[in-house]
Amino acid sequence: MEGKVVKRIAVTNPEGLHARPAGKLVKLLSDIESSVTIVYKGKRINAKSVLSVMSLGVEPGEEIEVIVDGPDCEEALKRVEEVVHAGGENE
Amino acid sequence: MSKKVVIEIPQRYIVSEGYAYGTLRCVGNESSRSSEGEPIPIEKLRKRAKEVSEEISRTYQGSEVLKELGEVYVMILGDPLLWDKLEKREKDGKISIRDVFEVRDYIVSLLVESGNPLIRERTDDIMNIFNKLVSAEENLQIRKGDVVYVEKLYPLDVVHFYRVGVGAILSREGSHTSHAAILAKSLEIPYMYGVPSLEAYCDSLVFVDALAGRIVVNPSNERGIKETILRYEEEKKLLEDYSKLRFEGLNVMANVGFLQEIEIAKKKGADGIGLFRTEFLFLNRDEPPSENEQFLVYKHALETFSPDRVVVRLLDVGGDKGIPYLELPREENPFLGVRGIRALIQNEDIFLTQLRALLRASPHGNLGILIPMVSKPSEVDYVRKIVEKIASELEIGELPDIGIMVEVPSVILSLDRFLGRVDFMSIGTNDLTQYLFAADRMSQYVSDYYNDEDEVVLKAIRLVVEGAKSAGIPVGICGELAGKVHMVKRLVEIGVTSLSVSSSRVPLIKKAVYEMKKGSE
Repeated sequence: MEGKVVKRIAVTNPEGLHARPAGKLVKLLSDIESSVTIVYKGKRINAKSVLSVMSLGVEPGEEIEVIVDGPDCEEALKRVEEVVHAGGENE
Repeated sequence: MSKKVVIEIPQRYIVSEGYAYGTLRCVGNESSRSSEGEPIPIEKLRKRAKEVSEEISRTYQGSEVLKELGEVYVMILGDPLLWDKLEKREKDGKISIRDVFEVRDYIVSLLVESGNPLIRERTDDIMNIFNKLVSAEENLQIRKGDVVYVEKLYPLDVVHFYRVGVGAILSREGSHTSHAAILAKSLEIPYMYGVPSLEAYCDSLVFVDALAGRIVVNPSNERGIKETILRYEEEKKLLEDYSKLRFEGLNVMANVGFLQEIEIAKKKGADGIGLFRTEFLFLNRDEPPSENEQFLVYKHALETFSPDRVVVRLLDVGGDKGIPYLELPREENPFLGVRGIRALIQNEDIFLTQLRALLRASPHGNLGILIPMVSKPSEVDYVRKIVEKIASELEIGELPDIGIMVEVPSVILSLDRFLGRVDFMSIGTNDLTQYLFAADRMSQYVSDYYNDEDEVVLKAIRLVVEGAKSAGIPVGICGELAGKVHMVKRLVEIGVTSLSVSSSRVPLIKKAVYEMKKGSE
């Protein structure tokens, strides 16, 4: 469904969004058409760029804001949450 | 015949144990590669990026961790941010090497500024990827069995060396916690750092003894060396069977000092974590780790080993560590000053946060909380009171066990006053030896005084074990003494209930216990 969603998500992945989770995120988003933006501590970055995601240095336990915009925005959000929650309390 | 040269390397620089005998290959220091040279057509750079990506995909195989890392590097090479920056600097379809390196430095600075030690380790990889991008000479002439010497070791290179099957890696710079070091350890490639320049011996035959910490150039007794290596390899294979053994009344546990080491400890067959040092969470940062970050780390460790015990030691630092957010005095003798529990009492916020994180994690496994540098019973009462208060706030019914490090002699001489207050004890033989003999472990001038196998140390251990036994309190050993094979028999006979050693020594110590028990049957 075409649209835009903004959501705040707590990162429960024990590795935060460091190299490995960052890589997984970018891989999962590779066939997503929508734009995916992460806002963290005042910085806005393209979630499809692994360097940008790693440069945020998101710690476990912190909260990020995710903005998805495009035809497959709901699927995009689902995939972001999958990585952010991996190995976390929801398992 | 060439002259034999022996180079001694301090034990503390051994990252991954083992032997190797082969030709020494000196690999150039890629990080210092000059930024001079002809501009590169951007199309050529793209092609090169593709080649490097393919090479990485091909070589990063064999384990999930490697595969995932490889994928990250491939992604970096194709990253939109990277190519955006490069294209902005292109002129007539070409880009100078200087510009490529400036983009590299910009990206590395982005990662460093993220302020996270785990990411900072990764900047090595980025440097190396860029060096590979602009370098024409590839495929270093390294063959199976060679010993490799590098200035600085990069994770990418470890994987390359692993694929080729090198015998050992030596580097001048290094650290135990670098990503490259962890990789070398988990891939079981012998690796030592702190090695002085070996430029004079490139292409000579060398024997690397990464157990004793020794490099022998042009060794004379080839047959003896080959036999030593063969015996070691055979023993290592046999050791894997021992790692699964369990013993009645004695746990062989692992000392763990950072996150990734938890997996290694599990793989090596540890019956739990006997000492989880939490300093890594606090060092190299400007503000303390949040409760949540700590909670997730402790929970991960507890879940990995549940139902086995994980003993987490509270932050154990003194003024010498220079942690900016800790209020600690500058002292003449930091090892006799405000450190361990003394430092925690003076920094209550940090102390409370750590205890809250631990208590929240405790239902996820079998937690023991270990108090460092205890010298008076009142310190235990203080911690217990806070633990009880937090537990009731969090509505945690079952309190985790609370134990103390036995390292200050006053504890041993007033043991009966501690017995009713603690659930377990762990003897830190390194500091205990240092405090018993008043001999700084780090000072080479008093190294004759520092001997953790001395009868005095064993007597101290016996006093603790015998005193604790009457109260039904388990006593473990977590210093280097616990990892000495020839001391296992003595320690088990004294009656210690656990030996906690570095992960790589777990199978070795299990074998020693097995043989000892078999011998006494």
